[in-house]
Amino acid sequence: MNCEEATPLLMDRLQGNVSPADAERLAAHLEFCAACREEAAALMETWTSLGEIDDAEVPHERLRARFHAALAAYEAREHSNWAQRLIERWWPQQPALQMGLAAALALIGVLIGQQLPSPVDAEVAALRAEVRTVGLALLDHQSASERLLGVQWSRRTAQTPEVVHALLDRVRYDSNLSVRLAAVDALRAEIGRADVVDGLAMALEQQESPLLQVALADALLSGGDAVAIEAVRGILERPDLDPTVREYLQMGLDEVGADTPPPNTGV
Amino acid sequence: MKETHDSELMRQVRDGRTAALATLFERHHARVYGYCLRMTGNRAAAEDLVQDVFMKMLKYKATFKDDSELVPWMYGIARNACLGHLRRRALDRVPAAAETHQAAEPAADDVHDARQNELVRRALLRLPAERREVLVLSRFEYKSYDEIARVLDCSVGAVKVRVHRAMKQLREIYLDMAGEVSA
Repeated sequence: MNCEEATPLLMDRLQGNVSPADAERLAAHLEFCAACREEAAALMETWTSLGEIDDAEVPHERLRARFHAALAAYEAREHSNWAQRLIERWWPQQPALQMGLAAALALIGVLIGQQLPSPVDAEVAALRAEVRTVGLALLDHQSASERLLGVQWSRRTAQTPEVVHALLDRVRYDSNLSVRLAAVDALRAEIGRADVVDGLAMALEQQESPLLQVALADALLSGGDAVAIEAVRGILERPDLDPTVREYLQMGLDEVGADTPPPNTGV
Repeated sequence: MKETHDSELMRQVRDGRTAALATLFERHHARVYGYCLRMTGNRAAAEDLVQDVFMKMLKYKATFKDDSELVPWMYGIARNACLGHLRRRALDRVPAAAETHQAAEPAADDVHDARQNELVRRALLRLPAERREVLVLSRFEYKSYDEIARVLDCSVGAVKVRVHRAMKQLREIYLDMAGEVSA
């Protein structure tokens, strides 16, 4: 073996991937070649030094929150693009034809509406109940991504007390921040309901995550309910509240016109 | 329950079930973050790049063929994202100390090791990006030369040559920096 042949084997050796036969040939070469011996030692030293660099700490929660927000935005965009493409494909360009087609579609819609038998309503109701059941089952799933899917399903159906209760459970007890944030977002549409306000207010008292505190306070303040405002004021009294969150919540209270008591930082 | 294979999940994403990307994100985001962090030396940039990589996986999902493998394809996207970032920011040099991802203050006994590790980390960031990436893939991402060859679309022999040159240059930079520190 010459020095040129030895180099690739030295590289293989770094990855622990040398056959016994090659290892023997390499050892024989290193025994009489001082330059390759020196090279092998230097390579091993550098390789070891690289391995001793501390592992980077991964900001899992922040990365997840950003990813799921971007994925939801992508899905919404795709959905609207699909509808737009469909319209562009079938909608005529000439104004006269557009008016004619619009009138025809309106007429067809009215006629179909009049002719629809009532059992269809029952089928639709059954289908909605099925969607609700699937959504509820997904909300209890072991996998966080399936639970996120469950939150999305729950948005497609009427928010019955059962669904609201399941979503509030996710907000309060789910181990995954993205699921908790998505559930808050889903409940925001129902912020006019007293049970939703009470549930979110209770969750706000318990949560430690600044992201979730901000999301919950945003949702509560969007309804302008007195209980909601009181809950946000309540969390401001916590001495361990993140200063950025505190500032944000105070701004939120100012925006809804609620006077905030001076924050008690406890220091 | 048997886990669905990465490539099968990506094919589902390609065929319209975008929710499957969430599972791929759970499996791979930490690795992609580590790769981007080693390539850029900057935590904030690495977080942005992870987002960029997974969104590009959606954007270019049609290029994922039936016989494609996820890991080389995904690292190809991560690689282009990192090189693009470095080109845009002209960061192909040592970032300012505040930008590097040095963690907490080391304990007194570990000061020497911590300094040495910091020197190695900074030396790594001084390598040209094309050399740095083969070291990041082989040493930090534990990729075999064969896997790296598939990411870089070159031969295994070429990968070994690149890793060898990168190691030699890294050592030279490290020794120069160590000399500057002790001088």
